[in-house]
Amino acid sequence: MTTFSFVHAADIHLDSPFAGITASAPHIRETLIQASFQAWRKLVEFCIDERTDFLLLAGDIFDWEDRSVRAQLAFRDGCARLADHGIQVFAVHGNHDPIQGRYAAVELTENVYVFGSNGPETRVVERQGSPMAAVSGISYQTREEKRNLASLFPARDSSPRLFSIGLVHANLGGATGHAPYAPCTMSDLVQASIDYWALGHVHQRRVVSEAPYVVYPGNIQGRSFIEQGERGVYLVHVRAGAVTDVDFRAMDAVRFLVLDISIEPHGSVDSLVQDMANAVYKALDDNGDRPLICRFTLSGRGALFSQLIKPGVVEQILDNVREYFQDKDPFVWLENIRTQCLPLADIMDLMESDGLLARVLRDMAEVEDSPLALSDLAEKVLSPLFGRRLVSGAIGKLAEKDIVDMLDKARNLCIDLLEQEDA
Amino acid sequence: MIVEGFHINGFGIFSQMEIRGFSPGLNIILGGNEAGKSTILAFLRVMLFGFPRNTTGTNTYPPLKGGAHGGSLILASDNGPIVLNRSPGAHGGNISLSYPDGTKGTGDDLQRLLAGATPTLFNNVYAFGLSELQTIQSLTNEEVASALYGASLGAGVRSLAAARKQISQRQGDLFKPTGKKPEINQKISEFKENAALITQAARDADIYLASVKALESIQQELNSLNPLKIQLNKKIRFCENILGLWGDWLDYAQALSRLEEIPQNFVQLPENSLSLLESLNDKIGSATEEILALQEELAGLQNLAASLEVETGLIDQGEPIVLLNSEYAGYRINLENVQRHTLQLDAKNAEIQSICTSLGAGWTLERLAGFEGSLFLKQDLDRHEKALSIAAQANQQASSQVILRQESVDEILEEIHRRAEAANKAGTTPHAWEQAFQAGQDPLAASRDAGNKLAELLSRKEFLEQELAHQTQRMTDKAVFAWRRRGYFAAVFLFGGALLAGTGLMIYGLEWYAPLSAVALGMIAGAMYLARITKSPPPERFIIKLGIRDQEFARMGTGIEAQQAKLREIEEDMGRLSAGLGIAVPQTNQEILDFIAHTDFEFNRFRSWMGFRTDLEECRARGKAAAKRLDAARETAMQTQISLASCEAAWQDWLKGQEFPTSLSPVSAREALSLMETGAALLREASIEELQLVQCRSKVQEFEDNLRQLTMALSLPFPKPGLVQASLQELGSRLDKSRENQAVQKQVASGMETVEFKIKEKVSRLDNLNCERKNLLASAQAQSEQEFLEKCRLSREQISLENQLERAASGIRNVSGEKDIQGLLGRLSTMSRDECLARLQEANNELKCTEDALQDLTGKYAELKADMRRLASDTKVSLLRTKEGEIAEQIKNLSFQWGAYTLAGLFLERAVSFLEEEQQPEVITRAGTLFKEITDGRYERIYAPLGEKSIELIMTDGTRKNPEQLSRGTAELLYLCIRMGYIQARAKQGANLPVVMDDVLVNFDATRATQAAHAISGLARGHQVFLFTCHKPFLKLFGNPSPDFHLYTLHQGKLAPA
Repeated sequence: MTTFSFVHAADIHLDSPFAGITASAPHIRETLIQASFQAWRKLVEFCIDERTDFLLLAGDIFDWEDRSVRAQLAFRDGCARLADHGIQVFAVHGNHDPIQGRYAAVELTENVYVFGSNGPETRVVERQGSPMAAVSGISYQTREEKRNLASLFPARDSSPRLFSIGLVHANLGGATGHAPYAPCTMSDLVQASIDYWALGHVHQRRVVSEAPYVVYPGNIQGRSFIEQGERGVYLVHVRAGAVTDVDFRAMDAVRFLVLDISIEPHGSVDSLVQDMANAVYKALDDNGDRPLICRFTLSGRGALFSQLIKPGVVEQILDNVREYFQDKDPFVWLENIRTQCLPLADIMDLMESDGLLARVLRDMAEVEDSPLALSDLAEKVLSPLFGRRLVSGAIGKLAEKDIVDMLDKARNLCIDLLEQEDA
Repeated sequence: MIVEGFHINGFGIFSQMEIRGFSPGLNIILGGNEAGKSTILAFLRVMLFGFPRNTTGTNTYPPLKGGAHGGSLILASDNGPIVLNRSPGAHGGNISLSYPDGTKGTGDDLQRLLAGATPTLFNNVYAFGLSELQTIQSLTNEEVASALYGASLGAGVRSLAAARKQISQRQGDLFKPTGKKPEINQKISEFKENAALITQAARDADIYLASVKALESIQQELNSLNPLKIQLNKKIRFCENILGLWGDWLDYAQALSRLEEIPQNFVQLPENSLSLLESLNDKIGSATEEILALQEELAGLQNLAASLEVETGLIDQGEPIVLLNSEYAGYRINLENVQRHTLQLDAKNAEIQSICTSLGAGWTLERLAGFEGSLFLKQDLDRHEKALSIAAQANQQASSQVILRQESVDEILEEIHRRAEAANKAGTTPHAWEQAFQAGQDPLAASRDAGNKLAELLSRKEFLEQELAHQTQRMTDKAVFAWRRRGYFAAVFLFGGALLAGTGLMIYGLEWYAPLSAVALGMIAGAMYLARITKSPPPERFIIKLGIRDQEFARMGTGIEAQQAKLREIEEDMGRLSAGLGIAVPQTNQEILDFIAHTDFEFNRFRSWMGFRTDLEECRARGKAAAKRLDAARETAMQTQISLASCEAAWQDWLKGQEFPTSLSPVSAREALSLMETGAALLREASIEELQLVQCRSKVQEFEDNLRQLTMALSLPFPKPGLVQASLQELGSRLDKSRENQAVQKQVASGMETVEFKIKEKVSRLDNLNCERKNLLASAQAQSEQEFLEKCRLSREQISLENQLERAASGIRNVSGEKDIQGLLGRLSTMSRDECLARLQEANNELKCTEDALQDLTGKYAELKADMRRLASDTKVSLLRTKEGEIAEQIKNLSFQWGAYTLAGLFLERAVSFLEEEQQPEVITRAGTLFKEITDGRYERIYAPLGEKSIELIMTDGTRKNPEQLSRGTAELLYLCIRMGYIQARAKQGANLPVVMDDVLVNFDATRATQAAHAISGLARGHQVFLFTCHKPFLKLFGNPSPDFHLYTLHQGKLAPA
């Protein structure tokens, strides 16, 4: 058994659009378009710098089935650079780039091996003629892969073997927030004859298990505020057939951050703006010299609530904070402000009177606590807009959380419109 | 808030009018037209809410009969009366609020008393006249309507209609199921268009695939054409090479032909043989010329050596000559110094003699030389001088200080005198003042307190007397009523007895007149009794029995007794206080005010007197301090005088010690010391001058001795004075010339030796060159130089042709690139140039065809490559996808906004609907109950649609009416009920302002007026009500005056209890 290292990455999503970002400045838009390519190039350079033996790509290298020529060529160029340094690449297809997807005629270099979808295949990785590890993998046939791909791997036995790696794009334990493709359980993974499960599909990195190693590296570039914080790959060192080190390295070219600001200590908008600017300065210090896309969440209970719920105030604050960073290089794009703050007076207090507002708030609270009532609202009240196929196609189906969000905004509206002037 | 009374300084027709004792319940003020009812209503409004701004013709009721504009309102509180003063000023006037304990309040305190009521609300709801009552308009003012109808929405809530409108408008702006203008509709269209563009752009992958295939095909064709092109190029290059080397080939052939013509049997000479011979001939010629030149040079040097002259005797004495020449300048200086020192020594001796004469007899050169002007002597002199100066200055200052302080004491004594006179002008002062002044107390504080206490007691006494009179009157009324009722019963009893008696007599069968007489007698007796009862007051016995029988009457009696007891206590307290002050018990408020004014006057007098006394005491204290300072200054002056005398004695002693006259001042002594020091210094300088003179004379003598020795050695005479320098210079000049000639002679001898050696070398070299020339001719087997030259020419031509052959062969090799040059030369000998040209032309034609084909394919290849590169770097799809994401996010944001507005509208309508049905505003509910009661249940209730400033009336049968559909009287009754409903509702929340109504009953018929009066009386049970009226008949609707109902008359600017 020799000592070797490999890089485990997944969900490259080359040429992936950013979700939920509206940036007017051309240089920001251009940076966002280039971000997934930039992250991929950083990954390639990282493998070369670390003199790693091989690179594992656990699915969703491309973002669409009809993957763009540019994305495929960028991938090919990266692989070619790795080939120049003798680094092998093992990849599987995921739900975003299944085998049946449309291909352009981009021929990959010989150091790349893409596993098929019929069943797990195994490739032995060698160094100077002596075997180091066995990499097994299986790809998605179609976008909606229903098979339990992990269960197709050979069962564990006691015969001596090489260090084994399983490469799969799978949803382990029904992870929420991700499509339930290639579902599998921990039991499936433990039973297979694999020492390191290199998984993809879940975009939040985590080491699920260490015996055997079951690892999701997450995606290498965040694409929305759901995927905020640092994104990257795991550098894995193996000595004498055992994993000695699993080291996370950030690769993202642009970073999403949600900055939570409490309005509680602030008596004026100016003070709040200063606090928000300070939060961005801290984020800049903490995140090195990469561009940042920040969203503010205003929370807490405070006297500013009544001002913040008025139309146009939040937009004005956003403009004020943006002025601090408009010439920053690399850029800081302050995307939006989400208000989740509460009035100084407790909503419960407002609900206790006999007035109209109290009645409205009580009614809302009752509905909010009832999933049935929320569902009823979606069907009977909101369906004229959200029931449209094109709308649901663009923004997704309406979830219960969305209705609660709208209800929350409606509550603020009613407070603004109906509450006493001096409240 | 209960108004106890008010005081008008000046307001409209009222001036200095005061009234107290308003009922906390109903107060009716009866007055004719122009009596001042509206003015009092305005006065109450102004007192509570301030003067209106004097603009747009608003009547501010300026004082028409004198007095300062404004006045005060006396408000009741648990701790006593609160006085609210207001006079004109900015922001509604100047307010002062005085609490019973003397503390002052502010405008904020007044606002608290008003419980948030605004002027508009007060003027329309609490204080209203007939004109306001007749219309709903006064209630639909935004502020008032919010207060009346907005209870369910929450006090102060904004318009529901505005909220509905805002929600509906924003919803419509965001989205409509049909239409293109709403923001979301626009975004959906944009999203569709973008999706179509994405689909179109996604076909780029197919284009790329086709391009790759086309590229492969072109590549194959290129692969086949390229070798052909290379072959043709090789062929062309060969032909071009042959043509290129044709010139070299011709040179080669020509050189070979000529070389064959040269004979082969002569000695081959080296190429440089000819130049070697020429060189040897040149060297032999030049060597011969050099030898001749050197021989001429040698002869010249021999002539020069013979012409040079040298003085050897002078060279032997060279060193002394040089030394004396160099010392001559020093010799001259020493001669001059001897002369100068002699003169200076004489001058200093004369000066010293002069100083001795100045210092006086006894001062000789010896004594002066013995003087020691030591530093200690000067220091002693300085010390004495400084001590004398300080002592004199201190003495001077102390004397000045004594004079100044004496003046200060005199000034203070004068001021004490002036202040004592001023204090006496304050008039006679009681002895107690002096004691109070010493104790730091106010001797009149007790009198002022007692005066205030008396005023308060008198006020309470007057109030109790009024109350007592009122209670007594009520008790009397009750007794009279009981007495008369008893009379009525007795009369009825007599009448009934007579009737029974008559009936009995009729039954017994008496004549008709007998029973009739009995009845008549009974009735007469009853009538007489009744008349007596009604005319006579109830007897004491009856009243006592009534007190025992009627508990309420008994309580009233007890109450009156208690009040009488309180009255007595007050009178006793007043008597005690008056006795303490030494005045008669005051009976009127004016007497107390006079007493307080007198007390204030005395207090002011006391304060003035106290000021004078304080100043006087201060002056006396300052006088004592100044006297002390004068004594201290005198003591100081005496001490400085003693110190000065001591210093002068020490100075005399010092002068004696130095043998100076004792009359000398320190300045004169310093001058004498200075002169002595100068003399001693001159003595030392004269001694130095003498020493230097001796040294200079010694050096002059030494120089002249040396010069004498030199002249003797050269057998020359000693130079005369003035010619020493010239003689020495001449000797030096001759010495230099001899030395120079001697050196030249040595150099010439050395040069002659060198020239002779060179001549020998040149001769030897000439011999060698002749030998070499002979050897050269022998090597070419030539007998003569002529023969040697011919052999050289042949040898050089052969070498030239061989070189030409080599160059041509090398050119052919280079141009052709052929390694086998001999083979090529062989082929060239068989070829012709024209044949080669023809083959070149043919190959060029073929190459051009091939290149055209290649260019065409390469162009296509480049185009395809460019297309593929464009596809590879094209960000169109990425941009479209990004835009798709952006639009989707915008749709999401806008949709969520629409959702929020939709939900807000939904919940708002649900709540409105619920509240309309279930929860009418409390004001309306209370007003409805009052209205139902007043209208004997004809109207079931009042209904206020939520968020609308209107009301509806629901009748018993369920039909609804608007206020416009009611008669004027009923409508006014309705508006009165709404106001009363509001007043009651606000009172429940703690706001209780006085209610002022101005002739509000005039439009009611008798029934409605009775019902309205009943309602007003009911309101007055919990609120203070002022009802102004000019209609006396209305008074009976409210019954008789009582503690809860006061009646006042207003006439000619005077308001008084009726």
